[in-house]
Order: sequence, then structure tokens, then C-alpha cells
Amino acid sequence: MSTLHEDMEHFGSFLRLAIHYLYDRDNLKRMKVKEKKALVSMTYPFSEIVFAAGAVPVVPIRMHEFTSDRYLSTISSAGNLFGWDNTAKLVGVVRQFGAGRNLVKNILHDVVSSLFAKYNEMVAIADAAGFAPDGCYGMRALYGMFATKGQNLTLNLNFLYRCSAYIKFCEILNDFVPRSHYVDWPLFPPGQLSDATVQYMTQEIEGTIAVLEEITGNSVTQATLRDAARLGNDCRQAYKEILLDIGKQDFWPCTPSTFSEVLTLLNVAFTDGCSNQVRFRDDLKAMVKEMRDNIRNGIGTDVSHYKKVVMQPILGGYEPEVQEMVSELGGRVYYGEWYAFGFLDDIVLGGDMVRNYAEHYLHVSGRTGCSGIIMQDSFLDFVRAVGAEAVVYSNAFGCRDMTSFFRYYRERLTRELEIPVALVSFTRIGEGLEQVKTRVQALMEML
Amino acid sequence: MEFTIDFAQEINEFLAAERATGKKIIGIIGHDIIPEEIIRAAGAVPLRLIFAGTEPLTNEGGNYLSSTTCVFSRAVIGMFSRRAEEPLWQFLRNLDALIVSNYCNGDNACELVKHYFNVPLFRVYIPYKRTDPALTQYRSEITRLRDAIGQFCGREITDDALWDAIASTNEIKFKLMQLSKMPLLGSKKQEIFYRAMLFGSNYLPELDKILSQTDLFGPALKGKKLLLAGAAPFIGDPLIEMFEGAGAVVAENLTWTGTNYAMQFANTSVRGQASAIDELVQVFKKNESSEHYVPYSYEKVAERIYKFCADEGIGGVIYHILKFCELTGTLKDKIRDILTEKGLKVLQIERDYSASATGQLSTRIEAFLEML
Repeated sequence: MSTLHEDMEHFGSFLRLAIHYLYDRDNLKRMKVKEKKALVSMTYPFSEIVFAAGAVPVVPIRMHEFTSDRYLSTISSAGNLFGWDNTAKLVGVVRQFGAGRNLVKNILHDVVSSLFAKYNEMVAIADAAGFAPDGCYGMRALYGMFATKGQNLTLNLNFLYRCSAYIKFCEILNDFVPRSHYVDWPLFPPGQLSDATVQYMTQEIEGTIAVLEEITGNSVTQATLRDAARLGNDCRQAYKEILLDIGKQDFWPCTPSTFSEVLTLLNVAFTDGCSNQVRFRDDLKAMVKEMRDNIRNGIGTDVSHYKKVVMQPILGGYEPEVQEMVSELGGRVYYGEWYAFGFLDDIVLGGDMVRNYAEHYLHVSGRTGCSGIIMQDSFLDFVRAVGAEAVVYSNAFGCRDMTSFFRYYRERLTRELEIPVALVSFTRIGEGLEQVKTRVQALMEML
Repeated sequence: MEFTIDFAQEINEFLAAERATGKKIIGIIGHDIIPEEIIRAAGAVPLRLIFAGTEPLTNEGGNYLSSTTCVFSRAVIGMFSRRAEEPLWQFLRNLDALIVSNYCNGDNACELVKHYFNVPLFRVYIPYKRTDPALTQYRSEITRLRDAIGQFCGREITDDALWDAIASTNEIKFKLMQLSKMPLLGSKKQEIFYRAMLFGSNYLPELDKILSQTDLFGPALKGKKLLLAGAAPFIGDPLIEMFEGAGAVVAENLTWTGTNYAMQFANTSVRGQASAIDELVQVFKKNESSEHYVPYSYEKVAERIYKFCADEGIGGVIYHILKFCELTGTLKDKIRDILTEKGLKVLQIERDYSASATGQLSTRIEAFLEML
């Protein structure tokens, strides 16, 4: 486990984002009950369209209570009282509220750990219900989330991502939510995006807008779509700045372990923007600023001797302990699925916004959906983007989609880039750690 | 039906003879969406990959695909991997191209035959809906397929050629529908279906002969009547024989290699009023009981199974799932629940191609038949 005292003192923005992601339950409840807002879930980070309708995008796991809530409630109160920029005072208040020094210094890790513990809890719910014992971890976690919190939603948007297991699984979710809407997310042959496909995607978005207007009573206009896209683009820019601009530097504003935890949090929070787009944009900008300030002031860690290790794919589930193992063995772990799949590329703001959204969705489809080979090539693009020296490939049990083409991926990595890769099996967080450790050790020794 | 060297040789000779006349052989992963009529209209020969795997084949495929990819797609890759040296699969050397689609992860995974075995690919992307925009998208996709295959085969596929191909394919399908109602053992019917799907019009004389020699109103077969649904049994898979060996009659095979195949026919009476492509779109539109459909696929599948059972007095349903097949596996319990609520008995069988589970399966079959 990481000891992150030094990070905590200078890294209030992490806590701020963590609180907005994990300790937002009451806020969501208020928006639903008092403000009569529609809560809308979607598995993939297409929250802009929901924001544009004045609805609230939410990943159902965020409606749960987390074991870290006792810290987070205290810190949240302090943040609201003293302002989020006053990190030192914030930490002091946390200590006064009973979170002793040892607790404080590990608080970042606890926050992330509580999130993963909740994922395991969701999977246990799916297992108890007898759902898809041969399904991937990610799908079973979603089952647990929707089984427990789906009834609080107004709508579930099923974006029909290329994995046919996921698509069929979406039909099961209908039982847990008051209303479902399916958004066909068309595929096209590599490099052959046709007008017909753009037209189909555009019509699917128009259909989705109609449903969102119906449940919210609001009008979705070119202006609301543009505003949501603009804010979304700001978030993308900040995300990429952290992931690539800062991430590729040799001096980090925190320890390698903390940086991986930042990327973990960004990865999960990006899906629904913590249900508040302006706040999310501000959180990310604050994080970038704090990181830059720390670097400028020489606060942080010289990571030049840490080997760059990419862990992927992570959407179907992965073992978070790997980042600790790698860190202890002199490496730093990057997660960059959203980058690899093109989600971090901007939505065009000029012209017809429905078409711009359509083209953005299809841009992502082109990087994920067209072909298993192209998907692996997208993973490879991220490896190149960070200049990684090794890859830990998470082979989530039950995955029939992202990991099917591992052999092809390994061949490209090892033959073309001459980068070693360790295949680690994953069933559930915390399981089989010894075997994972052996593989990670072997990989790091090669470096 | 055992997939013997003799049968493989028969297929090999057929394909080789067709190729010798200049025809291309174009493979299709065995499911219910890609219109084989387009291939026929190009003067090419469709080869449905409807061959069951074996444990060694799936293991071989596992060298290329992860172990939780469906057993069928791993087996297909295994067949290609062995086609150079293993006589059983040498007929695959006749393949000029393969059509892959997003029908399911397994279908998509078969794109590796291009990367590792140099077989050219055509890709088709199928919408999950049947709305008007989805149908327009499907139309665009099969038009693109038509043009690409036409170019590959060196001829323009005219509307007339496509209508002619639809008519000849319909003839086979109508006759297979007739056959499906005949009082024959399910295993016998299955063999005929396989041959018709593989040999197309060349098999019509034999099919006509069988139909003329079989009396629709002949004595009913003895045994408990069953309907087979879910994942298709492929050539070499003894599934139907196992049930019939236990004293049942598989009266209806409602899978891709059975009645479901024969049911997907176009309406030739609109020839002259609509384009052939538009009519193929209508076939797709009506195919709401396909596993490749949302949002109510399981309800539609269950509804169709129930209707067939009610019409034919069938009391038991075998719902077959191939290991790691998500299209038949994910919603299996929902389908079972609907059917049992309607009074049908349902046996779910989930299996891979390993021979080791055969004994256990026989016991389950016997127990199920006793319940009926």
C-alpha cells in the first residue's frame, strides 16, 4: 500500500474530485426529489447529450454509500467551509475531526480502495443472483449497480457498444430501470465511414434527444448541445493534460502510486462528469493547476528512473493492486482507455451540433468497434503516446471482446515496438494476487 | 451426423468443381442475417461455415483467440489453422473470401482468418434495431456488400440477377420448410438441411426425391416431441442424435441450421415493383426473432418458440447454448421463464465441444424426457 502523506498535504484537488465522485449521494437525491431532475445512466462517457437536456447523468454506483464516507463527509464540510483551494487548512480540519495522522496520510488510497471494494460488492450481488457466472467482471459489476440502484433512475441509455455480450446484457437491465432507450452505435469498415452511417447515427441521436426531452420537459437546442460539448471539451483537454503532458514528464507532483490513483479516479469520473459538468470542469482545472504549481515549486517526485508501464484493457475489470506492485518495483502505471478509444478527442463546436455529436460517436466507434484488430491498434496508440516501456495486459475472465486478440497485440508490441508485455488473469479484485505478482515481477525484471 | 472424411471430400470435390468453372467460393459465418442471395447473384458459391468443432480444434483456435471467446469461433479459427495439413479441413482451401460481421463477438473474431491465413474479408455491419433509420443503414450495408462482391467476382450484380438468386434460394427454402413438417427423424431432416445449405441448387433433385418419397400424412413418429432452439447444432455435432437415441423426436429445429434458416425468404411477388435489395431489407425487418436484435429479443424468441410448440403439439424445449456464446447464453433464463410460465418444459444445455461431458448430458436428457 502506498503511503501518501506528502501527496495529501499538497493535493487537495484529488480529494475534491474524489468527494464529488464518491460522496455525492445526498446531492443526487436532492436533485431527483427536490429539483425533480431526471437521473440518466449511461455506461460510456457520452454525458454531454444528457447535460444538454438538463438531466443528470449518473453511474449508478455513485448512489451507494462508500466506506470512505466518514472521511469524505468531514472533508466535504471542511471544503465547503474553507474553500477547496485552502488545502493546508483542509488537512488540518480533517485531523481535528478525528482522522488521525495515519488515517490522513493514507486517505487517498482509502478513497480509491473503497471504490474498488464497492465494485466487488456489486459483483457479489450479481453472483448471488446467479447472473452470468462466465460474464466479465465489468458486466457483473454493472448488474449489481443497476439491481440495487436502477430504480432511482429515470432513464437508462444503452449505447450499443460492439461487444454482443454487453448488448444482450443491456436487455437484462430493463428489469431494473423504469425506462430504457437503446442507441444503436453503428460500425463501419475501417476507413470507410459512409454518409449513410453518419445519417443513421444522427437519427439515433435525434431519437435519443426526443426521449430526453420527453422525460425532462426541456428542449435540447443547438445552443445547449454546443454548451455541453464546450464544457466536455474543456474536461477532455484537462484530462489529456494530466494524462499526457504532465504524465510524460520526469518530475511528478506526487508519488507514482498517487498518480496512478489520480488516473483511476479520472477514468471512473469521466463517464458521468460527477453529474455536474461545470463542477467537473472546475475540479479538473484545479487539479491541473495544483499539479503545475507543485511541479513549479519542486514539490513532488523525480520519476525519471521509474519505468513507464501501461495497464490495459481496464474496462472489463482489472486488478488495482498491480499499480502498487509496479510502483514498488520501480515503475509507474498509466491507465488511458478513454484516450485509446478516442473519447478524449474534442467534439467539433461549429455547424450542426447533432451532426457533430454523431461524428464524435462515430470517431469513437471507428477506434473501438470496427474490428478487433483496430481495437488492439488503439491500445497500441496509447502505449506510443506515453512512450511506455512495458504493458500489463489485464485478461479479465469472461471477456469475449477486448482481450480476444491478445496474441495479435502481443505480436505487434513485442515485434514492432520491442516492448515486453505481461498477461495477468483477472477474476475479481484481490484474487490471485500471488500469481499476478509473479508475472509483474518477471516483467519488471526484464526492464 | 458424423462429419466424416468422406463428407468433407464430397464438399471438397463440389467446391473444387465449382471453382474450376471460374466461380468464387465465399464463406459466411453460420447465422441468419447475411443474405447469401447476393453471393449467388454474383455467380459465386456461398459456403456456410456450419461445421462443429472438436476439443483439439478449439484448443488450436485458443492459440489465436482468448479462452473465453465462444467455442465455435475458436473452432473456426482452428479449422483454418489446420486446413493445410488435416484432410478433414482441406476443403477450406477452396475459400476465396469470407464475410464477417458484428453479428456477435465470435463472428467478429473470425476476421483473424485474414490476418493469419490470408483469406480476403468482406465486412458487414448489422444494426440492432428494426426502425426505419436502421433499415436504411442495413440497406446501405448490403448494397455495399453487393457492389464489393460483384467487383470481387468480376461482374455487376443486377437487380434481375439478384431476383433470380432470391427465387432459386427461395425454392430451396420452401422445400426445406416442407421437409421440416414431414414425419421424419430430426437427425435425418438435419442432414438434409446441412446438404441443402452447402450444395444449394445442386441438391434440389435429391431434395425433391426425398419429398416425393415422404408422406406428410404418414404415420407419426413414436417418441416424445421436442423443439430445439438456441445455438445451432453444426455438422458433426451429435446433439440431435443424442436426444433421439434416448427415445425422443426432435420435431423442430428452430435454429440457424434448421427451420430458422428456411424461414428467411423474400417475397418474389413484388418483383417488378420493388428492388431486390429492398426486399432483402424486408426480410431483415421481419427477422425480429433473431438473437441479433434489441430491445425485446428474448420475448420475440420465446414467442416464436411457443407458437411452434403450440402448433405442433410439442411439450418440451431444448435450449442449447454453446459455451461463451453470449447471444444465446445471456438471456437464456428469461426465455426459459417465459416458456415455463406457458406450460412448456425446458432443458437448458450449455456445452463446449469436449467429449468428456457426454455421459452427464445423456443422464440429463433421460431425466428430462421422463418429466415430459
